[in-house]
This record gives sequence, structure tokens and C-alpha cells, in this order.
Amino acid sequence: MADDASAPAQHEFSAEHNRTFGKLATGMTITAIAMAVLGVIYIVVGAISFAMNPPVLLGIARGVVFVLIALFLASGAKSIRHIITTEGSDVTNLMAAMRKLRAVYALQLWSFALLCLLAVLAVFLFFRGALG
Amino acid sequence: MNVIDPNHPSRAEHEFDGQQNEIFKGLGGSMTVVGVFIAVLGVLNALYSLKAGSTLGVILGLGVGASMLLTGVWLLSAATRFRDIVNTQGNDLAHLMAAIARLTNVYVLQAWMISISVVITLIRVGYAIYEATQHKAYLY
Repeated sequence: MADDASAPAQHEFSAEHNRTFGKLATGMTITAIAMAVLGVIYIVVGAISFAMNPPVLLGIARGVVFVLIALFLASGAKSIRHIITTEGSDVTNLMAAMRKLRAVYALQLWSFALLCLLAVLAVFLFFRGALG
Repeated sequence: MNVIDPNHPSRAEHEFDGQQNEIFKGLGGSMTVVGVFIAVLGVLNALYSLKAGSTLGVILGLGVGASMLLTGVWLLSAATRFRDIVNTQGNDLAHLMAAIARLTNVYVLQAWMISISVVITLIRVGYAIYEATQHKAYLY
């Protein structure tokens, strides 16, 4: 095993900090579970409707995004819990959690961008239909 | 003089390095856009709910709109604190813990709102299945 004694000691968060991290991890875990359940419901309802119209496809896409966000959130919550339950690698675990949170918000950002694009497209098609 | 006690490492002020700052910067940036979007959607949702036919519809719409607006404001506040980690020196931990506290508010509120959505969605799906089976029984 490699000797890691030369590596600088990582900052260790205090008990008070750990309590704050614990609350965040709990909130993220419950949100992840609820989002995963909601996402699966959207996918299943879309799949069993046997329709290929835009609202059904959007419902399925929303379900997939929810499940993906739930997975990132659950993984981020796990990293945050590691800050509390382990010693010596708090900053590494914190940065892992921040990377997963960044993925959550990047995914939401792209979903919103796509939603805006679809809304603009819908407005364009509506006016083209109304005028033509 | 600042003496760092090795027995109490948490008391020493930690400064995040450049690579870590990049992660906070990226997180803060995405969070700002998402926060603005959610806040605007919340306001639009609240305004749109005023046109609802029933009092219950108005109350529900205003409730959802207010919670979205609150989520957006907390996200923006957390994003500002994450950016402060990058832009300032000597106070990284205080900024980090402030951002974490705001994110906790966001996720506690989201946990409640999404759990309520799950219950409502399950009731609606159950009712739709019940309606479909009743309709099928009527046909036969």
C-alpha cells in the first residue's frame, strides 16, 4: 500500500458543520426518492397510454429527467453523508457532492432551455397555422 | 498571530484551491439560471392561478407559485454564496456553510412539495384506472 503520509491533511468539519450537512443530506435523499417515484409514474403512464403525441412524449421525457436528477441527488447525498461518517477526506467528499449537485443543476438548466425552445416552436407553429 | 491547533482542525480557516473554485463557480452559475427560471415560473404560475374557476384552484396555484418563488430566491442566495467562495479570500467556510444552509431550505421544501405531488399523482392515476374499469364494465 502506498504511504500517504506526505499528503497534506484535509480540513475536518466540526460537529456543528456536520449537523448542517446531515440536514442537507436528509432533504436531498427524501427529494431524490420522491422524484424517482414521480419520474417512474410519468414514464409508466406515458408508456401504457400507447400514444405517440407530443404531450405523452413530453411526459415520458419529464419522467426520464426526474429519474436522472434523483440518481444524481441520491449520489450527492451519499457523498455528503460520507463527510459526517468518515474522517480524513471531508474536502474530497464535499467536492464529490458539489460535482454531483453541479450535474443536477446543469441537467435542469438544459431541460429548461429545451422547454423554452419547444415553447417558442409551439408559438411559431400556432401563429403559422393561424395566419396560413 | 494565527495559531492553528492540530487537535481542532475545524477551527482553522480552510481556503479552497483553484480547481475546487472552478466547481463552485460552475455550480453557482447553473444555480443562478435555474433559480431565476424557477422564480419567474413561480410568479407566472401564481398570476395564472388567479384566473382559475374555483377558490381551491386559486389557493393551490398561489401556494405552488409562492413555493417556487421561495425556491428560486433561496437558489439565487446559495449561488451568490458559492460565488463568494471563489471571489473572496479568508472566509470560504462561512460562505460554504451559508450556501449549504440555503440549499437545505430548498431541499426540505422540495421534499414536501414533490411528496405531495406524488400523492396527488397516485390518486389521479388510481381514479383514472377506476374510471377506465367502470367504463369497460359498462360496455360489457
